[in-house]
Amino acid sequence: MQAINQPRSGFHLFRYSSPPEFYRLAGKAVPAFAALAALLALAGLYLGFFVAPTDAQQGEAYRIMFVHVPAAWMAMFVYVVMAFWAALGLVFNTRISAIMASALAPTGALMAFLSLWTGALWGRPAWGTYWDWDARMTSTLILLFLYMGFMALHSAIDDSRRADRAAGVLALVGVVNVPIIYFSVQWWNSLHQGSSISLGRAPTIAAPMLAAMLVMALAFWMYCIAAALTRARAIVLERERGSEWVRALAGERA
Amino acid sequence: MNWGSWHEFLNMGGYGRYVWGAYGVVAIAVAIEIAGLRARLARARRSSIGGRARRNAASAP
Repeated sequence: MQAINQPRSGFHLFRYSSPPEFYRLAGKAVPAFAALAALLALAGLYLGFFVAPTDAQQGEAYRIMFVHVPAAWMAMFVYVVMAFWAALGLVFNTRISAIMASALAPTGALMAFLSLWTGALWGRPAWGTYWDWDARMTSTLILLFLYMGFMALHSAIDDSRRADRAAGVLALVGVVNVPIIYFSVQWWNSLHQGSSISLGRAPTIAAPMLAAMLVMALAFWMYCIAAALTRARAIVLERERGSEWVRALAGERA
Repeated sequence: MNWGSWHEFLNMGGYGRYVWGAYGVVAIAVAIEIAGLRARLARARRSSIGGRARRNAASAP
């Protein structure tokens, strides 16, 4: 009882997992992340279209890279973060963890779709085909299906706690796909080119191109955080409807 | 500066439909997600307020 009576003393990890506290803090964080996303996107587009030079081999078509690579990175990264929150939710049974996993899934699915779409439109001028059943593209398509499966399974189960657990297990099983996507261009003969930048090796693209790509990647990252936090706030309100704090919140507003 | 005119910019060295097809769909998709999120949050807020109003009405003498 002692611990419950002194919730704010010292370092209290689970404090932010209380829905009212999460709702309030996320509400403050979203405008900051959204503003950063907008500013970084403007800077990235400027660098990508006006500073980065024409590519010697691909002409202007390569400029698709500045949205394709960030979308593909975020599709993989968001999945790992989603699986992380799903795992925390399964282990600690904290409500906000499972809500974060649910909040990330649609944004991750959007990123997977955008990486496939922009990849198709880049593949046509670069390789002469929109699509090929090679390892990188097929595993990215599976990533999109995993996101959609997570959302479908979650919405198919009425009880939200049970839905969290079932979808959480699916998210964890699916995480094996992420390293498969990442290393697919090394493990299999692929139409898709290898990565232009990686740890421990100098980038193989020109500096202004790299700068534009990294700034756009940061913009996508900030956008994903803002979108997922906004969705998580909506889910919190939907699930906590009728609880004391939501009624108090409605009272403030009324 | 890479472009001498608007036409050159939009033409993208002959790859205009690929480049703008990619960027256009990214912009549309992000706009749709933002609009959907705003609507969902507003709906969740309204229904929490609506729930309160209904309860107040029900408990009124």
